[in-house]
Amino acid sequence: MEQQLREDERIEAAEAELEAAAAGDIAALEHEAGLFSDAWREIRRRKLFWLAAFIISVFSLMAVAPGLFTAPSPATHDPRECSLRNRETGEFQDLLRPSGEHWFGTDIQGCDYYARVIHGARVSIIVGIGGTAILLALGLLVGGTSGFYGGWVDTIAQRVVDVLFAFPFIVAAILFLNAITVGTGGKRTVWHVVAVIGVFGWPTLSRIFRGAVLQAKEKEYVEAARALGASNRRILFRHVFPNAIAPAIVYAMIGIGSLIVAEAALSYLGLGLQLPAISWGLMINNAQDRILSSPHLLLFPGLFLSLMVLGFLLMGDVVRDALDPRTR
Amino acid sequence: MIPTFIGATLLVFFAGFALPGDPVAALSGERAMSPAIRENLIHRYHLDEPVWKQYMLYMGDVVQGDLGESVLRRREVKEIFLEAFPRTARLAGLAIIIEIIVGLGAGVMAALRKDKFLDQLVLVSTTLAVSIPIFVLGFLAQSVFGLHWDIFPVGGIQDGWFSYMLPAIVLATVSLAYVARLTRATLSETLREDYIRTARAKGLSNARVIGRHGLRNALIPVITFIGLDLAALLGGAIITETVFNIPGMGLTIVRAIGARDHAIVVGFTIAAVVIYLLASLLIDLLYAVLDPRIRYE
Repeated sequence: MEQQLREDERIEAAEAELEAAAAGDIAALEHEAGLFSDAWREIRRRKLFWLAAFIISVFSLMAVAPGLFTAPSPATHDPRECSLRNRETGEFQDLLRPSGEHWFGTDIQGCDYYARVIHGARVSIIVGIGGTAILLALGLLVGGTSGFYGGWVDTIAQRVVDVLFAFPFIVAAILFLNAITVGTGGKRTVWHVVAVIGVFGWPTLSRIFRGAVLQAKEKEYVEAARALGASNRRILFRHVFPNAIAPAIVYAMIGIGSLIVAEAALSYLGLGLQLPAISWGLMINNAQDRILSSPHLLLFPGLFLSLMVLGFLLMGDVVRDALDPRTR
Repeated sequence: MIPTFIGATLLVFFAGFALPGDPVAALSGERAMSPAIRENLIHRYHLDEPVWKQYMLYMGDVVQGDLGESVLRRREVKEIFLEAFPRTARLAGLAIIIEIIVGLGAGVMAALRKDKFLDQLVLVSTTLAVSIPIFVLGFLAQSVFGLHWDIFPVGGIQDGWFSYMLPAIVLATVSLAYVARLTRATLSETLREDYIRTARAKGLSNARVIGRHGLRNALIPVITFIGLDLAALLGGAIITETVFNIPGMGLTIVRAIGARDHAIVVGFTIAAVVIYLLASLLIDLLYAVLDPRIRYE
């Protein structure tokens, strides 16, 4: 049934095109805008899209307004307000299992784990989205100019990319992080981590974009535009760019998940964010010695981390399937 | 490749200087060092020379195979490397084998039974495998298979090859997911090509069509990926080694960074870079062998 609907829509679109051509309306034949609205229709139809969108929205809301999520909890809403002893009963309240009082239990300092996990979403979202923004900006810039203009610009740029590629990521991230926090005496903020992760992620994106640009450059419509006298810049922005950007966008979206994991990994190794910052990676680090006795310490941040990554990954998959002309 | 090598090593060398801490002061521990001894040590390790000269001296040693001496551990970096690398190599080797067998197998099966249950199963499980961060996976595996069910050792390397099994499986999981997906994608695309139809029309058996024509073409990007993965793994699977306490390249580098041991950090990173460059070169050559179209260009 769905197949039928898609078929019908396509036939409709093709007929509209023929009509437009017959009417001599060249503008209606332009495919670049058509590709994206087609894709949007495809995306909206897939169930996975709504699931992914739901997950991402929930986590984004969690990052922006953690208060909304901690409100219904009977325990304290401030993740940093920890007391080893319960004020009323005087009992120790560290490492408690999840209960009606503390939904996710407590950690070794008696902090309410639920509040901490909720607040941990902010760091991950900032790193994921901020890092991807930097990655896209640098990657598109370098890949685009490299692929489009070619020549010695291309050669130099690709050498730089080669050098960055050869580096093991974690070592590079650590060294760079140390270098840029020398000024603040070793204190790291989320933004330092964002910068580092973004700066070391762009080479792959630039390669992908460059490849796509090189392919798009050879297409006939570019030759046609040139024959019509279009300037280089017009060709680049109006013809090459919109067609080449799809794989780059897909890679970036799928990559958001990797950036989030990268930050968690760095914090877990003790080389990223440190206390009193709240990061899921840091929480997992603190949980490792007590896996058997207090599994909830590992479980909840691990679960949230995986779910967030899953959300972005699914979204990237959906977008890729929709933009890929071959899976139609 | 040479400019890449020089560029990367320069970067590492200078980044080494960005590490906070004074390695010479660290030698005397908590006691203060007399200025005479300090000067002597600085001179001995060439720390009084201009930076670029230090770089040249260092690289000169490197190409002769001398990676310097770890000031903190009082051992030659080369020695430490020769101890650590085989452990990482074992881990990486096991992981790659698992990756190839399970990943390729799952990918091929999923491509052959596209859109059926097996395909969906593979898709879902690979998505999960990629979403769960590797250290979470590592801990779960450690506590379930190591502590709870006591099948595998929890960490360290005292049980010989057996102690590498669980870490290798964990390490392989993420890459395996990518391999499976990539194989599935390329194989199902390849099977739609015209030459496959021709082969079937000629009357060739299904096994021959898929095995000889389909796989040979589909596997090229997959092999490239596996090759690069091996190269990256040999540079040190830092997280897995940390979780399972395996003293290979990754764990050594992380500890060295924490201990401000510049010699090890710079030396090992250069080793990782060299391994990666060699591996990519080999892959490029392999690519030319596998894909005749490349040779004629």
